[in-house]
Amino acid sequence: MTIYLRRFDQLELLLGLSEAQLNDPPLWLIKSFLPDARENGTISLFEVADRAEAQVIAAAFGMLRPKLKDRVGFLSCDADLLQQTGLKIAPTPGDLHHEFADGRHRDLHLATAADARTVAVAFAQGDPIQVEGKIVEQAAHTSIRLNQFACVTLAGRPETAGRHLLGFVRENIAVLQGVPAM
Amino acid sequence: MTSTDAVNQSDVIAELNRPLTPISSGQTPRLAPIVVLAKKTASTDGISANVPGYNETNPAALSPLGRRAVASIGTISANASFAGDKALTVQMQQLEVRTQRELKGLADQVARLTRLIEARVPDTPSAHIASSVLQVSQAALGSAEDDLGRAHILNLIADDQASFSGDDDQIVEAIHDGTPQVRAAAARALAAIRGKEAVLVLRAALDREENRFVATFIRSAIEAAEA
Repeated sequence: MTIYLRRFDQLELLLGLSEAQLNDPPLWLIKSFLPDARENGTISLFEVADRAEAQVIAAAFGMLRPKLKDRVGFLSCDADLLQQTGLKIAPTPGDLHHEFADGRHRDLHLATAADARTVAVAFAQGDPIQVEGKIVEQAAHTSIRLNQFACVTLAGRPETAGRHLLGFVRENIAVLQGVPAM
Repeated sequence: MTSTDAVNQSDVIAELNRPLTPISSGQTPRLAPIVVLAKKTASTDGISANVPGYNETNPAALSPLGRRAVASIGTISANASFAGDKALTVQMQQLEVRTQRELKGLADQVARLTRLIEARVPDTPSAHIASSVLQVSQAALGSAEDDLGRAHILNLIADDQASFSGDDDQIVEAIHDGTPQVRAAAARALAAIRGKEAVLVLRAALDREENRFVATFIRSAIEAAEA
């Protein structure tokens, strides 16, 4: 069975959803399917066959974060259900520097917020997948052994490196000034 | 001067004594003052900063507010310690932590403390800081007065941001009887505490679970416990 994954780390929010909201999703869920300014009308999905493959995608995300052992969450949707929406799904290379994960990357084209709502309803029907930190770590080790990762560090990703640098400066300047950050 | 001496302990105390954010605008936090004990483990010349409401050496001297808090809540404490001759133990004890927001305030303070120590002890890699985690006692977990607060504490335990001491029966019970948020968090926490020993309990919970979103969390907890 093929499923599509959408990265979503706050799966706890789903625990508060009522049955009615599965067909009439709240705004926060719809917003998680809205492209941002850089995404040019598309959102990133990953096409996988099962939970094990989702763990590999999670490992790819994990390696690009400061804390590998943080859990990774995905919303999931049955491929047939998503294809029934008529929205265009195109394979495009991902940018996780992980051969398998980047090969499974898909762009979903959305024209309007109504499209995002349609997709949110479809994903609300699927079973989310959470990958605990311990599993992320194990999967990352496996990926390294299988030579799945390109040799790219955080510093090789300008936007990521910039975020870390800003965080570092913010925290340390605040400490030096005696004004705790947060 | 040793690296430990380089830590400006008065800064640490000031940091830890900083009041928490009020619960809501115009409302005074109902937290008892934070108690800070900072001492060098290699010697006895420790320092302590006792704030009104608590006396380290004579707990009986607690103010009425302090006594009430201790009696009803138990404690949540946080430790940041260095290894070897750089040993410095900083403990903070927070009384009357009940809500999610209060707990987050405490967690934020621990994070700030860690950064402070890291910044002031330049030769000590972060990895040498043994831990900067909340230690959640059974009593403290039981004292959380709302379900979101309990779920938050349990998630901290599950995410290795807090350790748990005491009997975990309460957590097992929560997997079966809590709200969806509590059931999900309790499953994760139990997997973190018991590891493989939790698998049978979690599988039984999964069999009974009717909420598919909660089931998601139990399933991932089982994976983690088995790993």
